[in-house]
Amino acid sequence: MFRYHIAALLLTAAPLVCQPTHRLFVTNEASDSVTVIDSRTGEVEKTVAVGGRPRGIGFSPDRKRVYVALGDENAIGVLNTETLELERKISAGSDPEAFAVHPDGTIYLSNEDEGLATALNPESGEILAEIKVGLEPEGVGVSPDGEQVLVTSESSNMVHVISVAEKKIVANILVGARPREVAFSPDGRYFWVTSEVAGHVSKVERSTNRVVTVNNRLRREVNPRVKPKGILLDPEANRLYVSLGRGNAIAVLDPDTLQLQGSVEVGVRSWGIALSRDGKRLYAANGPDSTLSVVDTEALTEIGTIPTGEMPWGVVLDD
Amino acid sequence: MRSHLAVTLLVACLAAPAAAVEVDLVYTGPADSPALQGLRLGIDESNRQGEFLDVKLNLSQASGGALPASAIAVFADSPGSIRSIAGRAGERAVFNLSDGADALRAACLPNALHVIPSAKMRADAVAQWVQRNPAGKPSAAAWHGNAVKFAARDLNKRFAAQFGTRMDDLAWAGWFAARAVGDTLMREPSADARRLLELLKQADGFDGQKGDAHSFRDSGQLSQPLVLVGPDGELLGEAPVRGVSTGLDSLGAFPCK
Repeated sequence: MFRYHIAALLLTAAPLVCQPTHRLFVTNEASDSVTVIDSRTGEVEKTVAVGGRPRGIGFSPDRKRVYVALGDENAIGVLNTETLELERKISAGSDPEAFAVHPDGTIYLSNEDEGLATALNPESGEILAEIKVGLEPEGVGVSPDGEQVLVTSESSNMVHVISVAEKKIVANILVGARPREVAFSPDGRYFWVTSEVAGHVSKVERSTNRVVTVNNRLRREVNPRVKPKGILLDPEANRLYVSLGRGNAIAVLDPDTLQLQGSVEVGVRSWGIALSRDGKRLYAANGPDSTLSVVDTEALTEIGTIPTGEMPWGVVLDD
Repeated sequence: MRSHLAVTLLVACLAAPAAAVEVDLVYTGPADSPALQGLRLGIDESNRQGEFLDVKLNLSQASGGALPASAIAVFADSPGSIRSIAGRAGERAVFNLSDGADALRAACLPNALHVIPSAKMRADAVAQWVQRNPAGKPSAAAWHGNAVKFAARDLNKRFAAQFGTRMDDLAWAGWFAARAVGDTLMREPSADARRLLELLKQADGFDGQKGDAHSFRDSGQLSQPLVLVGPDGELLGEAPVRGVSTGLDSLGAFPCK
């Protein structure tokens, strides 16, 4: 009996400590849920009711928790990556939309309707700082060294650079209309930002906070409906993936020059994207289609779609 | 010592913020117009943007039709009078917020910027809709107070919070004009009226919170998507109508000679 208990304990404890779950987590903005998918089989494991208007999604540093921004509940929902139970909701200020998790565990989030960036300790629930930013803040990113946080203001067309130590804005960078997301280079020297209405992807040098390169040709090179939203870098830092919203495609850009290397058609209005650790699979959330596209990044082909809830918004992968 | 001083000065120059720019703008039209409410919201929002970049916009109301010399752009809710205001404004941009006359666009005035859609744009939008839905006969509008897509939800929320009423076409036109001036000044801070007009006409990526990028055509008309509204005021959809027509030029575009 005793022996059996030990064995059971080991079996259940082991995945918590060192094994990834290989699960995809997708926020469904219009059905107030998170779809959980086994990325190895493409099967939906569970749909978890999380609360009003889930959009931004991300992991705690140890990946034991999935955080979900619940805009209509002014809260961050905390989902257990292993048990898939919604453990609690943390007050996060008005209308949280998107966030990034600092390596120290602090959640930096955008409060869309109040025009604030909030630093939140998810353990204590304490709001550490509220920083006034522009209108309709959205995308948030933490620099690789953890020293700065970026917040995009969609309706003020800028990226705010926030010092983590001082919890205040140290620079403001104007970019094309409706900036939505940011991604950093691994060495921290650059970041990239998508501008949805302008149709741009811009590259910013962090030492000067200046835009050094812009690709403003995507509407000519891919299709006229392109609206860049999601952005991430592959593990080798050789490819920049950009979801194109109503362009119904993912663009692949050279991170240095922003030249278009290729593109792949996905579902309607792709926004959130996630990449497998080995860089071989890309996942894209297609809002009005209520699907997640699975893309083979070597062939640059959509190899399947997985059903989600309504208006899937963001996606993360625990691998 | 000398070289040390030089280095210090260089650093000081690089670190200096952009020069503060404060500009005066003027509104002419009825004091109770929704266009003026929209303008006020747009000026406030531009100044929120300007807080981070040291740019400030001031709005005054014209009295008796006189345009103050200090104003570098004019916002007008003055149907029937845009031509004469544009004539008096010299090289200053005159934003037409309410007059939809096609003849005004056909005149291709050098300094008139028509934010409100032309009659032809509205007719084209309705025709596209009827092609797909022959039963209904909607009207076309610049804006809808219940729209949610493309962050229209956010703008409707901000307007209703400030004025306790729904945003309509004139209010949207006022808001857009102020935001277009603001965003242009943020990118090139200057109080030069002629330069501002030039930049406004060149820009190709204004955000009207209606999805596609907005820009001014040669005629001065703002190229923009429209919304289609049913007989009970309900929001039916957007034009250009997907599957019937693509591209904003399908709504009322024509070349200036």
